[in-house]
Amino acid sequence: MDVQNAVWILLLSPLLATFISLLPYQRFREAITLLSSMLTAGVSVLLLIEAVKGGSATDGIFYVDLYSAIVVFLVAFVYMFSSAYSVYYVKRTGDISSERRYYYPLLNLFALMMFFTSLTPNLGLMWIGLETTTIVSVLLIALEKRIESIEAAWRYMILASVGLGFALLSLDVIYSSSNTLNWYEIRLPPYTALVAVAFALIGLGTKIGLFPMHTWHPDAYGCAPPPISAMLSAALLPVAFLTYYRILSIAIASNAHVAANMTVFFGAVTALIAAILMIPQEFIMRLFAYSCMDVMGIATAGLGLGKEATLASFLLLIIHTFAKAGLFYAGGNVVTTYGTDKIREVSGLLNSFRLTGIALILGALAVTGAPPFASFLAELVIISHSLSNLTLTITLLIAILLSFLSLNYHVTKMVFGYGKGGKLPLYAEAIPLLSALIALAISFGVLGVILK
Amino acid sequence: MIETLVDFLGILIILVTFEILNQSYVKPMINSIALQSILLAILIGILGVFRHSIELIALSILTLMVRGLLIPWIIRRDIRNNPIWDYREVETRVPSLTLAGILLAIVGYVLYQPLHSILNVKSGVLAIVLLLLSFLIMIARKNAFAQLVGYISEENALLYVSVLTNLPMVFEAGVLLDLLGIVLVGIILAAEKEYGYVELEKLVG
Repeated sequence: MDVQNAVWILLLSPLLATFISLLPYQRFREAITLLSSMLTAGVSVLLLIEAVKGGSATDGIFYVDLYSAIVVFLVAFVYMFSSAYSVYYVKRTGDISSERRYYYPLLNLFALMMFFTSLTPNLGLMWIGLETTTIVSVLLIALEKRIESIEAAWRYMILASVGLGFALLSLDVIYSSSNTLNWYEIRLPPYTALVAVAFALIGLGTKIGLFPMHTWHPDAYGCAPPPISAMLSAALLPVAFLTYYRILSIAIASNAHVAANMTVFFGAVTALIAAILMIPQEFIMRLFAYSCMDVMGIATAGLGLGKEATLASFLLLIIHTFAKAGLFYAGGNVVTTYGTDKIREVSGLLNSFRLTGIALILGALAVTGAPPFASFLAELVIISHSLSNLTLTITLLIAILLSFLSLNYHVTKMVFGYGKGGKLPLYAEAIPLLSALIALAISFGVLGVILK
Repeated sequence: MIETLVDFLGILIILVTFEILNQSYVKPMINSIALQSILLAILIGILGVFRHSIELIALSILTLMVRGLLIPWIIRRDIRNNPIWDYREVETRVPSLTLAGILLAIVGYVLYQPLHSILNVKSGVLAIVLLLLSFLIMIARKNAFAQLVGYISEENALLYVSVLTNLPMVFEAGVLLDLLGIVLVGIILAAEKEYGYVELEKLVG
């Protein structure tokens, strides 16, 4: 398929779905959202194949290379799984009549803005796209109408607005010395590039979940509906990550090496702190949120290390996306059937909901980088690139080890033991498992390619 | 001449921001943020006429309409019927906040020195100081309305920088930031309707 046609389908399909799903029939909304998301998932696979084969393509308005194709692929699949899982979740939690009628239009709009952000080469438009995802996701969280979710939405909004302010400052710096905002055309003096990256690191770091600005993540993921938590963590984070990578690549092309070191430092610190914070967690969704921070920290460090480590970061993101989305859907199953999101009140998932339990185990192993998942390989590559700095290597190793132990410890407590009975429709159980299995399949695919 | 006028307006904006920082009551704070936005609208309007830029004039009208009139009007109407906001002191650490604000202004001036060589606009320092003061308002205040005021002030600061550095798409950025502001107002109103006024103290950022 022509790259240009693919891009148009990716943008028009969720746009149309946004408008059509404003119509007042719930079944119809579900169907149109599912249809749109399946279409985009199919197209995104074709786009990824094109990008792997043909390098980069641009027509001035859009820019597709391997990295943006990967991110589009991730967004499209999470969009598809979340639309499917929403059918179960919205039905289960009831009151479709009131605020829930805006759920599907906002879901489609959310996906649209993420596609837009990852496909445009213009940093200003990327910023606008990210800003819009903030508005849409805040509304999706606030629509839950509990005091905690309104509080979480408020906290998210205030922090994200501060972060996006810094990102805009970064654009000001870039534009005033280059007079263009297309990232692949920009070359800056090293010092200017460093300042731009510093602002972007604070600004986009808020979205990615880097250390000093991460505090909204656990609140938001804990209070959003599980399909939206999955979109936030598994799709939005890669999009913000890609935006940061574009700005960092300007700095690297402009010989600002301090910028790369800064990125590595913040990534490693984030990974370590998230891994420590994971140990005492009591709530399922908050645990997963800290696990997201951990993985994003490692990936950000990889981004700063450069060369193969950059590719490894994106590989880590791919596995993380599918596994973490699976974890959030499985968490949604737990919350809706057990009626609690406290880890210690949940046990015996393997007895009561076998498929959900398997999805949890697979997902937890995948995000913490256990072999045979390709995340192991990715983390190995990142570690091997960090060997010139021993402190960094040790920090990363401790972070990886701690997060592996704590996430799997918590998940094991939930999965084994005596379970209580319950009923779940088969598709609600199949979605998390399918998502985790895709992570496994991609891992074997990657291993196969490497061995050949 | 034009630069002098713009800088004068910038200084006035900073003074109004200090007034917001030291204000203990919600109602005058809302009036001050409206005044700040109107001053910024005039500043952007002057620059727009001077540079013959339709985009800037549109941004000036948007600033006046949304942050100068619409959002303050919504909040005033919302709190008018609730005597709780008439005498309520939301913040008692005014002297230390003033001091912190002055120190922050000096820090902003020092911080701007490295930026100056990049941005190449002298009065950008006012915008940076405004940005830092806005962050201080957001951090120091526990009240949701005060945080909203801090957000609007931050937005004004960002648009101020972007207008000075000639960033393209500044109008679109303004529309989006205004949308964020309106959503923030919406969240406050929704929280009030559901949980009453006292709970607003819990909406801390």
